[in-house]
Amino acid sequence: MGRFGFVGKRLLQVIPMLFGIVLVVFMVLQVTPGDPARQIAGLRASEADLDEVRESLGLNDSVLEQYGRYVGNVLQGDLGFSYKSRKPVASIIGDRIGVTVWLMGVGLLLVVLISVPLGVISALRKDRPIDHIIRGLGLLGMSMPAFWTGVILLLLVANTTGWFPSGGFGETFWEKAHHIFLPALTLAIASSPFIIRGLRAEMISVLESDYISTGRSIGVAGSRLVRRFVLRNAAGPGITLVAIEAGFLLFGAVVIETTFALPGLGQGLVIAARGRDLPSVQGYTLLFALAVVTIYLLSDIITAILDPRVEVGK
Amino acid sequence: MSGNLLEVTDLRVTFDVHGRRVTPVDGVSLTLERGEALGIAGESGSGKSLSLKSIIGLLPPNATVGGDLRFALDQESPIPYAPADVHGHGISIIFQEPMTALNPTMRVGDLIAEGPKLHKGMGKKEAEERAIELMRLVGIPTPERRARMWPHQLSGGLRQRVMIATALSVEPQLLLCDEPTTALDVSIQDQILGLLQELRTRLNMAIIFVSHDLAVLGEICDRLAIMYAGRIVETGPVDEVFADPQHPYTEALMTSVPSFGATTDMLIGIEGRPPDPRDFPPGCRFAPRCDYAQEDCTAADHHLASVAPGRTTACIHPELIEGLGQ
Ligand SMILES: Nc1ncnc2c1ncn2[C@@H]1O[C@H](COP(=O)(O)OP(=O)(O)OP(=O)(O)O)[C@@H](O)[C@H]1O
Ligand code: SF4
Ligand SMILES: [Mg+2]
Repeated sequence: MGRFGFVGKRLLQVIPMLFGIVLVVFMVLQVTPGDPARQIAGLRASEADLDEVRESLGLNDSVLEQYGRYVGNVLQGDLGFSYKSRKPVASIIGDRIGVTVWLMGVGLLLVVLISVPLGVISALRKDRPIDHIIRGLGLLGMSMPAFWTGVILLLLVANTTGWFPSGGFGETFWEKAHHIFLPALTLAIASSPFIIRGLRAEMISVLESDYISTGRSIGVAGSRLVRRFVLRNAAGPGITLVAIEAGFLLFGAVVIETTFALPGLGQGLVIAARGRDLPSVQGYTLLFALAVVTIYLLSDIITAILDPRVEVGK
Repeated sequence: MSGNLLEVTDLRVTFDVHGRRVTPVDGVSLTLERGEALGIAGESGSGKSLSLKSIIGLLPPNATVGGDLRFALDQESPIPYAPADVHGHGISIIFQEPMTALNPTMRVGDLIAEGPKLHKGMGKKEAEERAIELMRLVGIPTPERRARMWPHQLSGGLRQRVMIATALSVEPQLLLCDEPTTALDVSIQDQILGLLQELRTRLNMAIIFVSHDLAVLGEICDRLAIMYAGRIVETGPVDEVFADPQHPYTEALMTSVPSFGATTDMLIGIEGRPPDPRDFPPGCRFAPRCDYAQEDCTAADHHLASVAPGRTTACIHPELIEGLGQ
């Protein structure tokens, strides 16, 4: 594995990727039609006013200079100022990120709680009635768009029982958990079917391998067989599946935060995009991309730790 | 103690393939004495692996087993058993591919220790010591160090030794070997064969050894069963079968192997392909490829007839066989 070992090597691979992401995000500003100065200064601004704004934003400099400055700022955590509120984008994101982290965290937790048992049972009872039921439910879940599931949950659960709020976020831990449950459940219903399907396939291929026959031949059976021979072999691919799904989950958050009026990043992105607030859009995009890269990196590292064939430590 | 250890009568393995029933193992009967080594030879697809898997109960879930299986676990004479009963009890198996047969996420010492933990009621420490003992028994050098290794860190030959140690960990009276040397280098093959020979005498263990390779079976086995298209077509002591085959298929198998007298340019193989289980020919299933086939062959019922003490054949015209080199 060389001098840096597995983790070091993966980290090194990520660095050029990050620069690529920043470049793409920077390009968004360059290729978007419309004049940022005009947007800030307003429709009735004079040519002189516009020039002043351009000068203050550095828009008169060469693209290369602008890119250099952008990278420098990003590295210092400066994502620019919102065209709309004139507040720093970083602080806008800071205000909203908590909601999305909650949504993703609880959503992922629910995905795992739903998918792992169902995927495992489905594989162990392949082609039996319970397997057909789980697969049928999965198909149903897959065919329901997230906003629709959200609306149904709001109408059927929140409005009829009154147990759950129909929108917004809270202050205390329990308020937050209370507010986030239905949105997170929506997210989980949308993503679990894919994870269940993937886990089932992975488990079945593990169950059909020769080493399972070896285990059974010496009398290892039941939960011991699953624990000692199946799970660790299926875990790596399972984690990769969840990580890929987590990437999609992030974009699902855009829809769900809007449905449930949650003041998170997804809602922020929708507002910024509608208002053509480019620095904010850039900020959100950068953050989403970073999150996806981080999730994949973490999943790779965990998978590697679980697989003795990868020498993580060296 | 003498007498039979295993009695298999009219074993059938049936699959439902897209609504059609196929029976790749179709009426296999065999007996095995304590400590005896039986070789099963036959072309690819003749049902050798499925027969072994039925005996130890490792068939895929979509298979149905028919027939009668009896095994004498610590008994005088064999009694009926359900295949899953023998998992960890008296019968174990080693496979062809030592890489895929070992759990990649389990240290080899832990794998070998599973049997003693489960069936001998040993604690962790004791089972680990037993595992190291077994590794020493199968000739693995520095077993204390190697017990901590993962399968991928071992060579093919060592992995197969780990597999053998795992199989021995349940103290079997019968060891099933499904082409255990085919995937190994030639020099390693000989070592593994030697090891199995030695273990067999040392532990007084019966062996069923499946192989394409008649020469290998000649080294290891007392008795031979030749399989063709899901059935056993000839049985007998190894030397006698080699000297004087009583079934045209056995003869054809032998002429296709260079070490049996034919020079390399005479290495003809057997003409034609083995039949597909979905479409076995009627009567004697070898008839379409048999040089001696007569008109009545395609109507012959399958029956292993005794031709000499300890020898049987399914061929209804054994007198026609010319023999080798005459
Ligand atoms: N799961 C299955 N479903 C349907 N048919 C099967 C299945 N497993 C095996 N068969 C069929 O059974 C036949 C015998 O298989 P088996 O593995 O016993 O052959 P074999 O004699 O061990 O051959 P080889 O020398 O290639 O290992 C094959 O023709 C195969 O097509
Ligand atoms: S029964 Fe007939 S066809 Fe079959 S092996 Fe004997 S001679 Fe050949
Ligand atoms: Mg086979």
